[in-house]
Amino acid sequence: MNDTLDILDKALVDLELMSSEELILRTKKAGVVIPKEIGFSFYLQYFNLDLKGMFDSTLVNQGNWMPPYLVNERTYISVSNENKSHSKVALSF
Amino acid sequence: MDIEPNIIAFHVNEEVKSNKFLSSKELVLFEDTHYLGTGMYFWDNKSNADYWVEKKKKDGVNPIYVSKCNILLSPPLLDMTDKEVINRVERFWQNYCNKINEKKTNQHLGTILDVLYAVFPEIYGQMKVSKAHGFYNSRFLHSFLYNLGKNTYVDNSHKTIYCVRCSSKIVNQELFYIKND
Repeated sequence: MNDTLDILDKALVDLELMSSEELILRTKKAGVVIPKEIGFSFYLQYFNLDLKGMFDSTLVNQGNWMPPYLVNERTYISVSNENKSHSKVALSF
Repeated sequence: MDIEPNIIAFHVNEEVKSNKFLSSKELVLFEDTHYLGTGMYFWDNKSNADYWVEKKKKDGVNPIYVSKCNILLSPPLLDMTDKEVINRVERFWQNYCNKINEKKTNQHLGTILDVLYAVFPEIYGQMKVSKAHGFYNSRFLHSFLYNLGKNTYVDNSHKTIYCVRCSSKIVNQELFYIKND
């Protein structure tokens, strides 16, 4: 018997029984706004960056990058080439 | 006598927040998006805590407090190292998004969990502790294990993380050591 799995299984059943309207109302009541999807364009927009001007555009086009680790003044991103060597680049705001 | 399952855990932070935690178990909440969402984060061994001390030092924190406590692990526990738990969280998130016609499903795990905790407190709120194996750069792999190559399947570059959302799951908190520059 695993309490966690029991709870999560029951939650799935309960979710099926809830109407879309009820769920939308719950989401609003909780004050939840689901953010923009993560992705390359999101970070470009979020950090207002011209990455293609900062890096070799080939690397950027290949999408070999990792999202910022921390969203603060020490945020950095990591860009890798085909050989998987990483360059860590600090971002300043 | 029943013994509640628990682990010894370590938390690294600055002086004021650590003192509040040590004196009154006030959780030092971190609004994380990459790991397990908002909560107080703990390491499960001293070496990983020491690693975080070095990171805090580079961030200019001084002095750095390392607290030690027991985290109670009685079920329910949101164990994101357990495939069956992950399966159910994934299904729940997908079904929830489908039902509210939400297309932005590709979120950070921490964001997903925070949404589920906020919208379904009667379900996810029961799980006051969550656990995960954090992926860290493979440069953290110990040279001894690296040099053994195929002679071992052991990897220490993944770190076990605990996220606590309720102080009732903390006992025996005490100051472990202070790092002064």
